[in-house]
Amino acid sequence: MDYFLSVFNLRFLLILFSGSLIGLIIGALPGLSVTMATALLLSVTYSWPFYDAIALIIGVYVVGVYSGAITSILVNIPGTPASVATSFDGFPMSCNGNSKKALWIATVYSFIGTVFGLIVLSLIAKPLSKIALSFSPIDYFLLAFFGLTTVGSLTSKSILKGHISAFIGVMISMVGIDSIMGVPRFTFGSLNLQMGIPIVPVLIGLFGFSEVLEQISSQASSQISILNNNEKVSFKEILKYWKISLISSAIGTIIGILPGAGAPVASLLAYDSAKKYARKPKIPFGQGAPEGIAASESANNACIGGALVPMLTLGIPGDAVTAVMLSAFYVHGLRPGPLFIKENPQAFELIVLSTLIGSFFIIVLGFLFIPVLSKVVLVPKKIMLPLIAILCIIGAYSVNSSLYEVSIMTVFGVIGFFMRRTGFSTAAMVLGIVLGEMMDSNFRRALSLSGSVRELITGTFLKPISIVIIVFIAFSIFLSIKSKTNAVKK
Amino acid sequence: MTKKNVFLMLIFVFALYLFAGYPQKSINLIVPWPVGGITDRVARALAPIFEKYIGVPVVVMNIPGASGAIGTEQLYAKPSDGYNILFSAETLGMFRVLGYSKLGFDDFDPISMVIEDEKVIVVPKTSKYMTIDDLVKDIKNKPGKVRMSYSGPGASGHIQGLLLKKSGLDVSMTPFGGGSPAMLAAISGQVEFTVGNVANVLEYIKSGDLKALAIFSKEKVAAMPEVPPITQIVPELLPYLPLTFPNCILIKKGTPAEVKATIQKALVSAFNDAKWIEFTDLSYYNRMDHLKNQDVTEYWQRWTSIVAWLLYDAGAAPNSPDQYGIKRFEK
Amino acid sequence: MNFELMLSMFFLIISSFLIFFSAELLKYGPAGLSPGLFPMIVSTLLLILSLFWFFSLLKKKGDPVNNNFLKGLWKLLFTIILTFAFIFLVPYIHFFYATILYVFILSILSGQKNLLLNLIISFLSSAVIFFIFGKVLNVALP
Repeated sequence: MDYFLSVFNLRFLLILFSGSLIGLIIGALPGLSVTMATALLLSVTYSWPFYDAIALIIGVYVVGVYSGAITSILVNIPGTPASVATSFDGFPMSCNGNSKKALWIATVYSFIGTVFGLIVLSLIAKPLSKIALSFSPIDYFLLAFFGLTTVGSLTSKSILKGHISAFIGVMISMVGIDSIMGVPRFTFGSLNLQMGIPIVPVLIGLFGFSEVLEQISSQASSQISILNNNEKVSFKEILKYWKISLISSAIGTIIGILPGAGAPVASLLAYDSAKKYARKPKIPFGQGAPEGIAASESANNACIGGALVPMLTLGIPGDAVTAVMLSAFYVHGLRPGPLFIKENPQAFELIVLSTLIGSFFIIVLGFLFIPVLSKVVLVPKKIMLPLIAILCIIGAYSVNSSLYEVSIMTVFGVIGFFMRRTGFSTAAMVLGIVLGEMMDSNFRRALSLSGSVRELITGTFLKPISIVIIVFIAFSIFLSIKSKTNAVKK
Repeated sequence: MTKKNVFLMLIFVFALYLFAGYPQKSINLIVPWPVGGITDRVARALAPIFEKYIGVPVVVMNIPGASGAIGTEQLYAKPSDGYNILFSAETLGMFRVLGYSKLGFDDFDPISMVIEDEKVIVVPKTSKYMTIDDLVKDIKNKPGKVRMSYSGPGASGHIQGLLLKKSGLDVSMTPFGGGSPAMLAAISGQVEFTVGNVANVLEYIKSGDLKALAIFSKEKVAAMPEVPPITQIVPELLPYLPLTFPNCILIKKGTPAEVKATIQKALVSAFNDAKWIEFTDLSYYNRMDHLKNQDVTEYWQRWTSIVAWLLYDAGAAPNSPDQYGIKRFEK
Repeated sequence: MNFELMLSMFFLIISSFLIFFSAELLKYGPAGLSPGLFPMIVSTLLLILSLFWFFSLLKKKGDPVNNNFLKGLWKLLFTIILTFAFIFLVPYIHFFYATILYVFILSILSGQKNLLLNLIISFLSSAVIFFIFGKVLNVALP
């Protein structure tokens, strides 16, 4: 304890805060990923003492996941794939003049999500690591399948079109080299397509660039939105949605623990569960419901705590950023593995502490910047649109330093444009892209492990985790059918 | 200042620039693998040390995709001026037969090998196999039933599995899309065994989550002296081993000789640097930098002749090595 | 001709192509493990859904839903071409100048009438972007 107090000084806090600032900027800018920033910092902090390096990286990580919500809300471009679901209600809310409230909801619930994940990490890390261990390929398949059954909740108009979007998303996710047999799929001889269709440019295109195209073509109003000047943001009102947040954080933490699934999956699933199980919201989902933002942001930040579980208890990364953090461990001479926490309790304490303080910085940064940020919607469109367009291009380019990603972004911008105009849900397509490959490769993996279809099916029903997910699937399908027949009855 | 002085100064500066030689701006160390992966980790440990000796910033650029083909091709498209250096894994030898790319090791000018990691067969702690004998016996009794996890096509563990099959041990192989998931599958008992890197499995052996049964080589390994080499139990593997998967540093053919010499000198110093020795020892990596230039090419020729045919014969690669003049490995 | 109808026919064609390509993939491996398994399943589902859609549209008849659909298509086309031109030009003229041009033209499209102000903004924003992204954040720029 006194060791930790000796580390806990002003310099440490300053480093954490710098990391948080960097995370704020990087996470908000679409295309620039927290993973990339962390990797850069890895080289920068090579000669630093371990604790300083970790503090910096964690600052970037925690705030970076949160700040993706900023651009999601203000300009409908998810700053990171994890904040896609935040844009579903964040942007409409901002368009209604409540950008400040939307930003605050994202801030507060990102904080709550992080803390939830942390509490789970520090209390029951070891038992939780068992979850990571007992999740077998068939369970990943079932999870992905479950995710796809939630398509209905993402589309308000035509379920048929929603499913078509989702299935096209699934097909898109399968472009590239098959991870099971090494066979190129749908690559038509192009080397670029062999690496698959990268999700970040797709997101930027589908959401951000298509929005730009739409605005230019339709010339509706001269500003992105109005600002509700009488908007008073009361904390009591924001904290109203704590129940949804708890469920979403739980979802986020569990998904975070699974090495094969990450924050985008978590936030989409949390969003769906909020839609299904929450009490009827004042504003419907998809048009600016605060519940949607709360669910999405709690989940994606809770993933942080979750991803740290396998990293610290098994030496296996829970997501891309934890993979880079593991590299940092190696570079500084530490060996992560099952004995890590036992042998390095201070390091563990430090990581938990840094994450906790980082989450407080989320709120601090919110105080500092939200008043300014919320006014962004007032900037005249004729200035904003070209700037957003350039931002999209730079963002897409920065993924792999090549123009291929920029072309992908543009193409999907056009696709997104036409999808909106014809009633196809871009969210459903994203769901398909995120879950498609997971579903495909894990099914075949499971089959390979079981030897035959019959053994696969019988084996599945013997495992508790699989049974739980199957129940969820059944429930989900049941609820979708019920809501559809309710709608028809009306 | 008179105009003449200014002019002379400009000529001077210009001349300096011309004669300053290589390197003048930062060097890109291209790693065709994702950030945080095993190959990337080594490159990132090397980069700052290399930077110390070459005098300009060395920036690690990750260009992942297609088991390294994307990054390799991108480097190939850049000029041979020495400002882009490839930190390659072994997969470059397989691109042709796998159909990912037409490039191979002979398209590049090798500078040096870096490190290799020994492979070891491990089983979960709950496993009924106590020795490598038990495992081998069980595989022979139940062909196609004993399960092994590996990373992915052409990646870690795949070749070992195919070699086992070639030696008469019919194992059931399942790819897990990465080294970590494959390891996880072994720890949790979803498969009976896996072939992991010594550096990676040490912690799990210490904690008891994994048991090491045999080193996939002819000899024992300093990190685990009690573990027998697999050739003791499966002598059919002797002609192929040692078959390891080292990283190496390559540059494009046609790079000027002085540039290459500069890079080489800096690398030699880097590999002898105390920090590098410390890093590689801590991770139980075998330093391979004694292999340079032509040695590297010969190593990869032998390697490719084994692996390319192994993959093709097993049906894991669509293109025949014959097409590329790769001869079958003579035992 | 109803746009939606045309679109549904477009989907029918696309799904057929996808089924064709998936069938090719089924060549590899035993059926259960084949890389073509899910592509085939999903493309077949797509075909079925497209058929549903197509026939439901035929039943509805009339009601050309999308007057909105055609709005501003010229501007859309122009923006797309402009963007691809930008991508194409960047390797030739430096990113900085290409950005100025791009922002300038796009601003006009977005309704900016004051040309001088436009020029200033284009120049400033390009400089700021170049500075912040290129130097401070060290992001690769085309």
